[in-house]
Amino acid sequence: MVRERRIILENRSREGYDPRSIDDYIASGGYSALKSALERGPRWVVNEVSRSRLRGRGGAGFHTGFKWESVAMQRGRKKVLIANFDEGEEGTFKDRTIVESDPFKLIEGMTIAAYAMGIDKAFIYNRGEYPFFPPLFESLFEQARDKGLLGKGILGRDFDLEIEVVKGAGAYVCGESSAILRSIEGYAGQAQIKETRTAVSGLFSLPTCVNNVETLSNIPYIVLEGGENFASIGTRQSTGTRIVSLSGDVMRPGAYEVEMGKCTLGEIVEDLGGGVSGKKIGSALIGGASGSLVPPHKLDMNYSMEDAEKRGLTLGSGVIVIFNESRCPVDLAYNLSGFFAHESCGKCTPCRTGTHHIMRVLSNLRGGKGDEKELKKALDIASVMDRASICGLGKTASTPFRSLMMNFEEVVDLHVRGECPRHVCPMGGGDR
Amino acid sequence: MSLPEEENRFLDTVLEKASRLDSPILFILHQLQERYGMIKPEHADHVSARLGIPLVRLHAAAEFYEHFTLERRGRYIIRLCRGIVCHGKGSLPILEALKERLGIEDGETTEDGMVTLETASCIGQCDGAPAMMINDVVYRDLTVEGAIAIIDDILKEGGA
Repeated sequence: MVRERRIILENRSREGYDPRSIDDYIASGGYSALKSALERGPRWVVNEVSRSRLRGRGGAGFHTGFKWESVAMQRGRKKVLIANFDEGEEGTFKDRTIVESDPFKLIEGMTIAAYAMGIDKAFIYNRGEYPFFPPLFESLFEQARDKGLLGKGILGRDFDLEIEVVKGAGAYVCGESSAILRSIEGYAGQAQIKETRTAVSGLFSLPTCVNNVETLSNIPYIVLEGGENFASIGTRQSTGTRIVSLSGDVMRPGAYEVEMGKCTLGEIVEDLGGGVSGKKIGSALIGGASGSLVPPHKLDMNYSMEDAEKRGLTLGSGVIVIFNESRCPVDLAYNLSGFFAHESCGKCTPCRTGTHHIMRVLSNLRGGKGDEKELKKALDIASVMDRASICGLGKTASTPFRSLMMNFEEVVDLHVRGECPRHVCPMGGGDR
Repeated sequence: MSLPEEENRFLDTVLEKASRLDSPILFILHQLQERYGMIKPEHADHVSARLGIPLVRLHAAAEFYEHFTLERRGRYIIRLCRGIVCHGKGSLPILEALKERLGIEDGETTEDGMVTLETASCIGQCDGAPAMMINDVVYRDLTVEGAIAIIDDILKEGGA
């Protein structure tokens, strides 16, 4: 029986814990990591984060320690930290869960990160669909300021930090690391071709570190227990835990924190999610909208980045969506293609036109007007999108379509012949 | 062109608050959208002049983001999630029922300016799918009947 391993969400297990009270957070051991970091110095902190082999939890999986080293190296300049709370990947709600369950973990993590990299200004980019958090953050900042844990001269040291919350306004692409910069600068949040690294020239051309909320919330543990200890959790390439956003047709949807590499996807669904609701599992979406639709037998995959990679999958932002047998994979892929067609920022051609093309092809297939030649051509277009798009959105936008073609050949064939075996697709509609 | 006194005062307050921010523009647009249900051209002119920001830049931002509009929206904005999880769990029948109840299509506002109906990309409430937001409030685990009851409550309250 798989159980949760709570590091970030540890205080969820604490009875009567008030996540909005700094006193409760401190009583549970909160801010002892910041104290320890201030005693040991910035260099030590960056080293521990590198040794932890922590990788970004937003989807790309970049090494956090490497990012921090690159920014810390920029001396004598103003630098900034951005906590990416633009959680918009379909099926993802883990960052919301962190902020609901223990927001001071994030704030302490950010404070340590700022100290380690020599930063005195940080931003939280709070997605527009979570409008209830900016006022909460303001009240948390006030509590932290009153205790000398934020603002000028933190804990009596020569270390200042201000955090500014920026509320997004409904654009998925702003979670992308170049678009988020444009958005905070007050422009349309379009992706940019990166000529210089963000660590050298990012927000307002300043050295910038962009980290996901979950990534930053791991920092207090790493500082307290040491990078080596953190690296001993999980597997060689996937250290620590992941907060899985489990939803869809399961008995107990929710955010579950699991040790990586110690359980399979299926065990997460069964033991933590209480199993499928309705009939049998028909398909699952792994990784998010930019992830893959897979048949049930692939749920035997061990939950780690290396196992995912071996199977041509990605853990993405930690999404697992289960669909029972009554849901049609073609209809699901069509829905996802619509998401990308809507959210493409329009900057580069492969993504702007490719996402719409794939949506049209899937609309035809769903309407009983698909044909094989058209589907093959769409696969070619998908590979151009993958290679030629500016940012991660375009590069991964075709993944659901490609995984549908690869994993559900039979279902696709039936649709080409005008039959939806689940009787979900309208058949007799479509764009043509 | 001078603005009505109330609008002038509101803009003063907003711009004063914004002057303390490193990222003022989205903040200003949010404040205007919330207060007036849209980004009015004369407000954009005013902000542009006061901050020395080209008008086209404000316009581009207002057009790009889903939550800002150049046309007036309703007092209540319904955002029904059309994300993959909500879709899988039956958001479409809810959309149809809301359209019928309100007599408007997706993206439209009722004639009395009370309610705007929209569908949204994943709103991050997948563990309570299907879900919707009305202004800043989240409603989860919706059924067709439940969603209609919520709307009826709002219409009643709005009419009172």
